[in-house]
Amino acid sequence: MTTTISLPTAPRPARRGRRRFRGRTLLAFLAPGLIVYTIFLVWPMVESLWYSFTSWSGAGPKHYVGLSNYETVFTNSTALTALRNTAIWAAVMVVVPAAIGLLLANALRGGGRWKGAVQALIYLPTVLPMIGVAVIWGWIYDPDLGFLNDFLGKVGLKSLEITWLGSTTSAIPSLMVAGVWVSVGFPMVLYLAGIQSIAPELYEAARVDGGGRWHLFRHVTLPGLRQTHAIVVALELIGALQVFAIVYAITAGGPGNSTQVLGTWMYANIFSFHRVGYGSAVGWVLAALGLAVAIPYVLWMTRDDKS
Amino acid sequence: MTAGSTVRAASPADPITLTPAVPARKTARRRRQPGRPAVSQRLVVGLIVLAGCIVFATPLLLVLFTSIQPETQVITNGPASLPHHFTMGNFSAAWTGGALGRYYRNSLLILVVKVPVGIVLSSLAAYPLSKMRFRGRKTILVCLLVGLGVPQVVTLYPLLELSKDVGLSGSVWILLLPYLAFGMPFEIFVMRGAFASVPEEVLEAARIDGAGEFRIWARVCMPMVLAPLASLAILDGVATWNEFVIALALLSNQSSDTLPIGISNLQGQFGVNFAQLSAGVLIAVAPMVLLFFVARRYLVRGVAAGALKG
Repeated sequence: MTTTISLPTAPRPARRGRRRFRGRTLLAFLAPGLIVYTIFLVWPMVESLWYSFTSWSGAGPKHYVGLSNYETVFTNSTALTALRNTAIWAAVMVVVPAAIGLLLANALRGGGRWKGAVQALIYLPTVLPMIGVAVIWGWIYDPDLGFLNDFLGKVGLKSLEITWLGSTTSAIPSLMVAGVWVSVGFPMVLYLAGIQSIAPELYEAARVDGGGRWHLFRHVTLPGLRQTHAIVVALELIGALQVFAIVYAITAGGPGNSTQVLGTWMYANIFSFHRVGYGSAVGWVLAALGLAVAIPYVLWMTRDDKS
Repeated sequence: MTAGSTVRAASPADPITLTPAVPARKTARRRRQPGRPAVSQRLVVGLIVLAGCIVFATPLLLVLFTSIQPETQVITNGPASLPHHFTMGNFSAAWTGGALGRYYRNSLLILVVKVPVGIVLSSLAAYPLSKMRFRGRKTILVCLLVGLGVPQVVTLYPLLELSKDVGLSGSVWILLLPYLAFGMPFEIFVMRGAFASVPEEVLEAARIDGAGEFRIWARVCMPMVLAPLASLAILDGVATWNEFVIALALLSNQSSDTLPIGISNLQGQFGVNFAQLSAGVLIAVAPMVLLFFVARRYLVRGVAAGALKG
């Protein structure tokens, strides 16, 4: 039965591999997902953009105020702190975990017995909920009952004990250590996959030429990872901009708003101060940054896709 | 690597207690091979990795050790000490006192509905985006994927209003549709990559046999991407189980809270009773940590494939 049907149609070549379809078939495939996506992601985005141009408090009429909320974001000192912290956080979370992940991946390149164990250990924190990570690290930093000060005291470094989260200078770096801890596993896994896709012959050739570890890393591994670098940077950047739970649960933006990031400052404005209009403007600055990374990234990832 | 060795090797205590003996043995074995890096070099790298692993494992061991000793001991000895007396009391206290059972139920309900429904919706959408030609395909694809960059916080207030309109306030189901929407970009990303590996000839053959597109999607395409599907289900499950910020904004009472919000509640409830707090955190993360050890290959492969495949 198969042959009788296929005989007349077989000679017709498929046009560039993909066929045209009737609108109804298409709609049936695409509509369910698109509807959910549009109503629960796109539409809330649009709505909060509209709110950001109003002085709305969450109740009563919405008064259009033009760009004044955005002016406040770029002049108010707490908002600027949040913006600066978000930028620093993003820079650190892109560079440090990627660098550690790359070095680990390179060290584990040869395989060996311990590769699996090390990889598992480094990757494990990424399956923990951020709020759990926050609880653990908040406790590590506790000035009186925390692990870190207790440990420093026991190894004779009592002079180094400080209130890690209590001062405006040490709070943000302390939070970043926790951030790095959960973020190393992801780039490590990507770099391992990237390194494994480099042809072993390249390593063999470089080794025959008498190349040492550094030579191999510099002239074979790094050039072979160009695409992986771009992906790691884009995804870490997107993740870092969305930092929320670690700050919210460990310092709640304190002390004195010194650890606010855009996400927590938006949340505080909308849900604690009932300044929905202003909070939405803070949020949209963040969203604009996120989209500024995501749009070129997505266009690049789909670059082979002509339509 | 077999699943068995993964589980054994991945126990957090292993790298610390067992690694020191290894670099020497391994280098001795490998020294004879020409072109291998020098012994000293390998030793240095090994030691650096080892030191890093110890630092890295400390927070995990801290939680584990604290949860199995009485609170009084944590206070008198300080948290930076090995446990001497053991108890399971913290776990039962956290379970009953922290109402973890209810949080568990809510998280499970969302998980078992969100993950399959999300994967079906995304696989449906990814199929024409990967396998059909039509006007506007690239635009729809890019719009769907760009959602990766949208921070959830921006949408919280409109989402809250929206879900009040729908009348789901106070129920855990309020999370379902936002979770589905926010999960979609990554899911479509993965499924599109997976479908790209299905040869056109197979689909063409099914079409010639007279199969409709739905039948082809369900009976031909999906069975050919089972491995990526498994990875995606695990990744999606972990993300759903751990989601915090949307739940924080939308859930309005303790009876509908999910586990991440529950952990946050525990923090307020137990304060500095770190023994019970640790036990509570461990209970909450246990399913995903177990899943991690059982299915790490799928998880890691899914992360790599999902991110690297265009």
